[in-house]
Amino acid sequence: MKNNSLMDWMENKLMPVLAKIAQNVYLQSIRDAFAIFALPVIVTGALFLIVANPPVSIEWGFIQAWARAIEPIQGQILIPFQLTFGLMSLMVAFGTAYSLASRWDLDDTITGIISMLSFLIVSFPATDITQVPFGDVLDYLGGQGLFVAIIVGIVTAWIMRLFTQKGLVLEMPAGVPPYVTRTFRSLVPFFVTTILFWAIEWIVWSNFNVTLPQLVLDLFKPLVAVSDSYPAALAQIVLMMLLWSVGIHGMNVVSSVAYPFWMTQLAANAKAAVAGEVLPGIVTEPFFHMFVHIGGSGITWPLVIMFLMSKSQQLKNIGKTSLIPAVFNINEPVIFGAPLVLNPIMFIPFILAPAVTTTITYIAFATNFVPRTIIQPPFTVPVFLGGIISTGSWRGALLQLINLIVAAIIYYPFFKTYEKQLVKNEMEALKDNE
Amino acid sequence: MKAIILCSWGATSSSLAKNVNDAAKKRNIDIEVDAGSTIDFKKKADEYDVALLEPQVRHLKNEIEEIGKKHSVKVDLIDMQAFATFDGEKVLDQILSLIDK
Repeated sequence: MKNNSLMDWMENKLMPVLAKIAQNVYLQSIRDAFAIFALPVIVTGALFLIVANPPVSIEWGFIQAWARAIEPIQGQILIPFQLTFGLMSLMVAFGTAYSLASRWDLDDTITGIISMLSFLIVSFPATDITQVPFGDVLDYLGGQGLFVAIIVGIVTAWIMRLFTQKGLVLEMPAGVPPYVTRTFRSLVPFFVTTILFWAIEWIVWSNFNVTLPQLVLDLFKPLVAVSDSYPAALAQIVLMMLLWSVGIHGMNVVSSVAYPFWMTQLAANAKAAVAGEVLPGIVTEPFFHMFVHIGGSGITWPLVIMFLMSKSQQLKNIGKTSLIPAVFNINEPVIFGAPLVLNPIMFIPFILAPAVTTTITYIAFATNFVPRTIIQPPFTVPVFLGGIISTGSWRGALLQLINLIVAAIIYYPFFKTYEKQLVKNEMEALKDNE
Repeated sequence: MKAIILCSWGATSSSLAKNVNDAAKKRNIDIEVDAGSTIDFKKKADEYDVALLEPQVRHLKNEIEEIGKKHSVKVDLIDMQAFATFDGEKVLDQILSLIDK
């Protein structure tokens, strides 16, 4: 690959900084909390949301009949939705603490449980909770409690670490069975954490007459609003692609900060859908994974097809191994095989194509040309199918098609230039061998 | 002998691990290659002799190397082209040369 001062700068100056961010244990733990612990309940819950909210915009007879049939029992159908998707914050409270504790070599399961229970304590009003209707609390255990869940998870892990490192735990004499030791070790931090969060909840409630999640949500409200704007979406995609350009998993890093915001929007959309109201949120996880990163980060599906038909042997080989992964939106072979990493030619479309398709997607949702996302399918759901599932409309698939065509047009001239260079190198190598 | 190929979620590493296992079978080499995420590795590092990182997690090399040192696991990055083409033979060679070191 041709050396280029910009690429040198990226490799030597930008990469170490970005790598440091990517290695941050807090960011990694928050991401794991969402991607490992909350995702299963979100995907499971979504199934019931689809059943309870058939895509009535499609005027097929059976969909209309389905909508009529479930109308009287919609509440019952939504029970599994409310108690899976609706409890995502509880999972995040567990997952954040668990992942941090695991990285710090603490008892991760216990830390996760303490965090989850502490989060429950702060989610209830400090009154006689036997009189509190569950529905009043439910919202905070779901999409509206995410920020507190993360904070509780981090603080719990801190307390656990502090007590374990300072030896402020009840130690059992040698010879006591390990499971007994484990129970006693967790007791002191358990008490301390519980009392701390119980006290905080009581103080907050008696001073502001709101629960801690509500208070924190009010504080984060401006940030949540900003996160749903076009500049925020554009900044996120550019950062993701810059990270990928130096070979760091951009989605992983950006999502560790953005996930709580995406999920807040998605949960608000799901709630509005259940209530039959206008969907408020635009920038969600499926916004990026379903509509921008089609075929993998950087919308590389069109590239795979170009590679398959390429005159360069190298690109053709990469095209062959990339074809099946591309169906499932996995493109590491493309990124590292072409390679798109630190490639002075492909660098430009690798950022431009996703940036332009982010713009198109934002406009499509903002103008309600395509219904906004209510479902987050796993990122591996193939193109077109993913567009329909996430929006409940065939227009989702149409938007994906438009984005693919635009990306193909942006990639093509750069692909041609790069191909020419590779073919020339391959010819020279062939001549040298003769 | 046991080796593990690490990526962020264990998705691409499983296809590559399969190809390496096939290559080993063909050459009659007794080795078992697993795939996993960098998070799992910490918990079961003891089981392995070699850990290879895929390029997308290369920024985690220092962290993984540290864990590797504790459990005497040899750690290296997979060659980018070998990874991109899921070249089991090449990766197998890399594992074998690491063990010989």
